[in-house]
Amino acid sequence: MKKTLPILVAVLTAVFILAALILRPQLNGWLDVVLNWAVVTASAALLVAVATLLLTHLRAILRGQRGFIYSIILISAFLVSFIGALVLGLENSAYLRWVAAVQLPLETSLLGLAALVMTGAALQIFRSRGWSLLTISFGISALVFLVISLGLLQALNIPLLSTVIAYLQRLPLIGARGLLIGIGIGALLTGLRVLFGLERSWGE
Amino acid sequence: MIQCPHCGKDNLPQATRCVHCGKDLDNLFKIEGAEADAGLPEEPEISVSDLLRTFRQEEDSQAEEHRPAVSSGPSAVFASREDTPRAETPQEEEQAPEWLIRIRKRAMQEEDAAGELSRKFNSLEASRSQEHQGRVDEEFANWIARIRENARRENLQAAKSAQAGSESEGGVPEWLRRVRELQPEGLEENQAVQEEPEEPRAEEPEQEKELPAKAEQAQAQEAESVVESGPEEAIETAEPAPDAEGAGEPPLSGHETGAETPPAEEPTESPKTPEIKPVIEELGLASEVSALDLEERPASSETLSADLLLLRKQKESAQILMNLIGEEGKGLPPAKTPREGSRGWYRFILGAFLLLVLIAVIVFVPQARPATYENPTPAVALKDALNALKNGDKVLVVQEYQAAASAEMEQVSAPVLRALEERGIALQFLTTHPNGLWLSANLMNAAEIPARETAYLAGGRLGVLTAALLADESSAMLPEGLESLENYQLILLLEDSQADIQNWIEQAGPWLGAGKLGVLASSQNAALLLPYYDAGQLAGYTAGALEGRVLAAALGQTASTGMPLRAYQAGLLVMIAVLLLGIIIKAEADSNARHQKEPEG
Repeated sequence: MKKTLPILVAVLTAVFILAALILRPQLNGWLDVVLNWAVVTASAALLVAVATLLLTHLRAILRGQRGFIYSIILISAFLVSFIGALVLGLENSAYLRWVAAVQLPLETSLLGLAALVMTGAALQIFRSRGWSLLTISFGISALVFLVISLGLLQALNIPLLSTVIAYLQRLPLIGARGLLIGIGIGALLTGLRVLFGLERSWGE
Repeated sequence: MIQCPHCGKDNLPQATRCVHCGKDLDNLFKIEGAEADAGLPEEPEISVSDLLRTFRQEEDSQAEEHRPAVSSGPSAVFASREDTPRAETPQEEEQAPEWLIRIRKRAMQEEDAAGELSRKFNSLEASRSQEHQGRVDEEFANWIARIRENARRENLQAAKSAQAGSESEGGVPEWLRRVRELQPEGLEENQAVQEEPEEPRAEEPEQEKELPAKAEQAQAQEAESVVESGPEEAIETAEPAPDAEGAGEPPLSGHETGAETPPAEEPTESPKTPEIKPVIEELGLASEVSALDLEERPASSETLSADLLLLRKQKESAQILMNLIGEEGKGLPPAKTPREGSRGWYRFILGAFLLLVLIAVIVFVPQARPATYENPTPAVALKDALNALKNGDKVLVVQEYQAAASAEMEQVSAPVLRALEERGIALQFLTTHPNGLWLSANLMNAAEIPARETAYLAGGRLGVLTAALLADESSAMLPEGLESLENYQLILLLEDSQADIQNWIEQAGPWLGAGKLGVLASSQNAALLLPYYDAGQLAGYTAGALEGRVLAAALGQTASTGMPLRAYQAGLLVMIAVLLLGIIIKAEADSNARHQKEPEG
């Protein structure tokens, strides 16, 4: 029963959504109800995740675990944001500016750090992997597309060069299309597995 | 018929009371001369087991002609009955009552039925007892065999568990403790070497440091004595039953068991040894013990137990395990990369030159002029879609980028929004990220358009699907003011994430008309948007600040100039420089290696 019930719910939901998408005007009301349930359930799961996060960090503070200072910062930021939104409201411009002022530099620095890591990896790749077909092709393609992305060659406005650049810019289409086809097939198979009750990732 | 002595009337012979007068007729059954106590002697109350024992005793004493005179069993009773008349004198026989005389006569004439019965019973019981005894002996032998087999298995399992190295008291593994017992001196040296660079461990090194040398020697001697009797004790504890079996057997000597112990060490053996060795012999372990002794006995005079000798055989494995345990929790060692020679100045000059070029590009090189730059086809298509909008048309602006990408995204999207606002197109803002609520105000400021409320669509992917399917159904999930998506002429997505773009294209795109979705994206999404554009699922897209500037110029707007594009270009240059630097360093290292090999060759 413990395993059968989730499979049954998933299969019935999938079948109903498919039917509702096909018979859309007639089943719109029911589809609205089911989608509402799904959104409410997902929101409840998010609340559970937030509570778990807070409890974990509270436990770390109470036990004085290593790095508990970060837990204090996290809980303080959460409380200030939460209470601020409750008191001032989400549409308060001061509150929105305050949140943006905190979040903007944080995320920007995180992205900058990612760029530095990528740079370090680019420096190390030839030293660690040596000369191989993979590293050589990686280096050439990276250099070519970095130069194209600069936009300086396009600014020269040379017709032949522009044609070559336009051709090169369409090269990623091959890889991107392959990626998207792979994603689509994976999604289709996952959907079929759910429909046939083979997907049991929730119970194991 | 009998007559009642009281009324004189007739009564039935078996009546005990007169049916006429009602008085007792007991006196009629009284025998003259017979007293109440003079009947048969009372038989003692005996149990069945006593009865059987008595029968067996009779069986054993059949060889003897006469039976014991004094006996308390039933046979004795019968014997006394038979013997009593013989023992009586003629005078007593005359005085005996008439009924007794009749019985005696009858007994003289006929064979003694009771004696015949008891003889048959005794013979039957004897045959049964022989069969039973055989079965008992067989079961007992099987039981002993099972116990021996169990003891052997336990002994083997104990040896295996010793190899596996279970934890002993104080956190010291048992195998390690045994190895220490095996080589106390060598281990002390190893510990001294190992403990110098390391932090003192939790318990074991401290305990070992505190132990003086004499105590260790005493421990070693004690261990030896335990070792001598160790396996035997284990066997003894594992097998309590053979005591009964081997109790009557003489103890075997050490030579018989195969354990050749030197005479000088015999007094050190535990007193239990002589008692246990026969048990080992019986259990079939003597050959194993002797084989171990022959194979593994050290050259020195120290005596070691079988399990310790096995561990010694695996000394190298134990040493590897010790090293692994010592390295536990220290983390992985850093990757060993060959370090080149100290040519720092060369690299410093190269790095400084690259940085100078980078700074020069950022500061002095003019930005690419939009007039001389031609956008790729998707960006041109988006420009055409925007130009096709008329006054009063509705455009839904979906804001879904993160704060980190806001500078780039504002630079791309602000001119577009301004152009749409100037042309009288109704803009409505929507976001599916909480970030969008506080980033939209900055975007409106950058676009210099009147501030308006940004609607929040909850539910992520499901919310988008609901908005696409049920916007005109006044669903509780949809924010107020949001119309059916089909009512919008264009849905302009401001995105920095491929997943969010896919979400709108795949969940909402099928239910919308063709060419309803346009994308203003950050530069890293350009490659993955191209297939969607080729498939006709997008009206067009612009990715990155550079294309955004060209698009703004095409829409008649002033392209916003600022640090984001410069910083982006600087970042790209840094990446180019670092890649080149990596290639140069690798080439240099290969060259050095080649030069080093040449003289050797």
